[in-house]
Amino acid sequence: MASFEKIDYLLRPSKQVERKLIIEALQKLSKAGYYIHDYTYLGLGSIYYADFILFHKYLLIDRMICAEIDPIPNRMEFNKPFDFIELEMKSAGEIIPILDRTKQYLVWLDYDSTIDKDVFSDIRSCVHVLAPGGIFLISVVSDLRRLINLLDPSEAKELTEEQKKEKLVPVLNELLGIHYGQEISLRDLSTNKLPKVIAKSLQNFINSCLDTRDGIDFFQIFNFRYSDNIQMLTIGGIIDSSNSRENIEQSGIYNLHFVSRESEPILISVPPLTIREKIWLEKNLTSIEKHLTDNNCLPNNMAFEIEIKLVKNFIKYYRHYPLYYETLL
Amino acid sequence: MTSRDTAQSYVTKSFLIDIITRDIGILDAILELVDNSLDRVVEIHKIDVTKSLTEEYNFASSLVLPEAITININISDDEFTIEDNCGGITRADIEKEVFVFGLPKEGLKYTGLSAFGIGMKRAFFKLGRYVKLQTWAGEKDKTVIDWNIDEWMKKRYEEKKGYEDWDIPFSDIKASELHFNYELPGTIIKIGKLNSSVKTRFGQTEFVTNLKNRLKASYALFLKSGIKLILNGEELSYALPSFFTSEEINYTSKYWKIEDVDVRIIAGITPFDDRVPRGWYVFCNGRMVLDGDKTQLTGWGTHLPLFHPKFNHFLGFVSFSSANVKILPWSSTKWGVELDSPVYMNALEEMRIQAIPILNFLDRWKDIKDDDESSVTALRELLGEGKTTSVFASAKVETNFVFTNKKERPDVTKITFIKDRELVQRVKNALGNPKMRNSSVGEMVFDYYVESELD
Repeated sequence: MASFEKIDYLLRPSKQVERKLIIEALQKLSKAGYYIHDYTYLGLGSIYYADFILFHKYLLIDRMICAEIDPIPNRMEFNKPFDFIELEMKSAGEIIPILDRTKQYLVWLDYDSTIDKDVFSDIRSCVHVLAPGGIFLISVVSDLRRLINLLDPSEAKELTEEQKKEKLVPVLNELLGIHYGQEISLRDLSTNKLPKVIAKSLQNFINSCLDTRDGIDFFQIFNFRYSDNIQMLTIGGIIDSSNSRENIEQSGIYNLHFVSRESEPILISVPPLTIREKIWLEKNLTSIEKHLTDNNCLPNNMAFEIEIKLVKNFIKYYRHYPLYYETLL
Repeated sequence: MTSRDTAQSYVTKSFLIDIITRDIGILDAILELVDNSLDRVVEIHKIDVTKSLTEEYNFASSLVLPEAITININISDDEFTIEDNCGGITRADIEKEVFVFGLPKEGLKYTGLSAFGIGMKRAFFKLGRYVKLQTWAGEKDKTVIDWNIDEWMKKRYEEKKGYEDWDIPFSDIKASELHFNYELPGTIIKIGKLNSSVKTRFGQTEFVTNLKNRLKASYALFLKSGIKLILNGEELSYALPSFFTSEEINYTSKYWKIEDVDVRIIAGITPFDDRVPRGWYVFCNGRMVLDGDKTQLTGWGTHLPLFHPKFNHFLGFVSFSSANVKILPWSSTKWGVELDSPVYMNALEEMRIQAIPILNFLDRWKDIKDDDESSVTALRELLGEGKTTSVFASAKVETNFVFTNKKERPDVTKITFIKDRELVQRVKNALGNPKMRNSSVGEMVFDYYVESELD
């Protein structure tokens, strides 16, 4: 089953926050001369086109290509929010060769699958073809429950969860080990560690792919992990000439709390709140934040019970916090 | 014995000969001599045979020549000869450059074939112990060298005891006595006192056939551009595979420049009646260095999946062209590529990127039929009648590999699995037909799952 059939893409609150964070960071890049509105967006489709709508409205991109491999051309065409979106019923691997090497692209390979050989192949192709200044993002499932699928199913069906984990270790070492640079062990499979293993492998892999392009580097800006039921990981950055570093730094993008050059992913966590709670928190935001900084605890006059960790997360992401209402069309 | 204030250090002739002939085969040695001839043609006539990859090209059409440019090779049990009208070598060059080991020409302005400054010499050593080289570089510029290698090996300086004399004396034969068979200037090289292994090989029909095939492949673009190549009296013709094209399918053609090298990739599928497993054909300055490669050298099994019969119809050409011959990715024998060359690493990525859609396509139609043999029929069914395009006519512009499915065709795939024989028999019994075919059992249980479990 494709992931769009399981959940309305727009109703993945963490994913939605991620999209908005990406937009905010990319807007900031214009200071460094990356005029994203002139870019062409290449995304992997879903019938909701959520990223396409946001990127058009907030990044002002109006050249967009949507790649979709599920055999649903009519449904994809029907749900296209803008007629200028070029729909290609092909895999990323089939679109990348036809990208114009002289144009600027923003590419987001937003997979609803785990990392595998094909994903590596697509990354490699993208990193090779994107013109300097291109922006490249990749999202993969980094959830143990799904990585288990990398095992041979006939071999795995009789095994306990623990045995499956043990079997997965050599499989992951085979797939990621060379890029991760260290032996992956059972302990690396924990929910908190796994995304870092994958993030570091992806970073190293992207950098090694650039070996064939003299004077071109990957400047990472995104390293997110988040979970709307299934844990995801996103790595993203700019592919540009090695001497762009200073320019990118001067844009101030690295001052954003959600932008990272490191291999430890930044957790996007969106606390489940009612609309009333959200409004109350926003109304009292400054005083709560001050109290937190001064005393490292919540003020006594909180209107409802809530964990301090969730409030901290809310303060980080409240501007991007999605709100859902029922809509009658 | 007087003491010295330096430690002696030098290279001996025998060591050098041993080393430079060690990693070159007899075939490659002969091709080195052909390269030398062609290098002169490229320099003098400014020809660019890589054009013939993408268009109809005959270098001679814009020149007024009294005869075809020809390289004539003869091999027999006791002698090897190569004669050409490719322009000859000037006496000045012979005096200062041609017999120096490892002195490639610098700052070339043409896409030549002489890369390492060693080829001709090591070809001589590889083949025999006696070389007669007579050359005419135009007007009165004629030179002849009579080189008895065994005697030369023994030559030492009288005055500096122990030091070998490397110089090769010119022959006493007068220039006016030299005879050339062609109207255009050129060179005749005769190699005698053949080495024993060479003698044996020259006597084998297989060797001559292999040599013929290698010459045809390596110089396919030169032959196509109008150069004549003759082996033992037989004029060779080029044989390069063609692409299949139709309204629905086209090959990809990409061009770019990296460092000083022009790179072109053309890839697609061959017609269904081409039953030869193809792969990648790689050229450096028009000289083929890999012939239908299906190994890791062109990324199979590393950048791409391992080569498999289902990819038999994959065909790709890669051409590298540069006046800076040193950065071309050819190996020192010019048969093979330097995998570590940055230019080649870059091209290999692009080869992979361009090949993926084609391999995906071949993979897809392979699924329709059960066995490899009928895949050709499947391809014919899938595509309908197209045409065979010699790329060379039309790949000048950049194109993408496209496959547009115009007719409705079943989008199907194949499942194979292995199960315990006894269990399968029990399922057959349960299905009410103990003698049913295994494939039917598979289909029925699959349909059963679809019906009972899917929405």
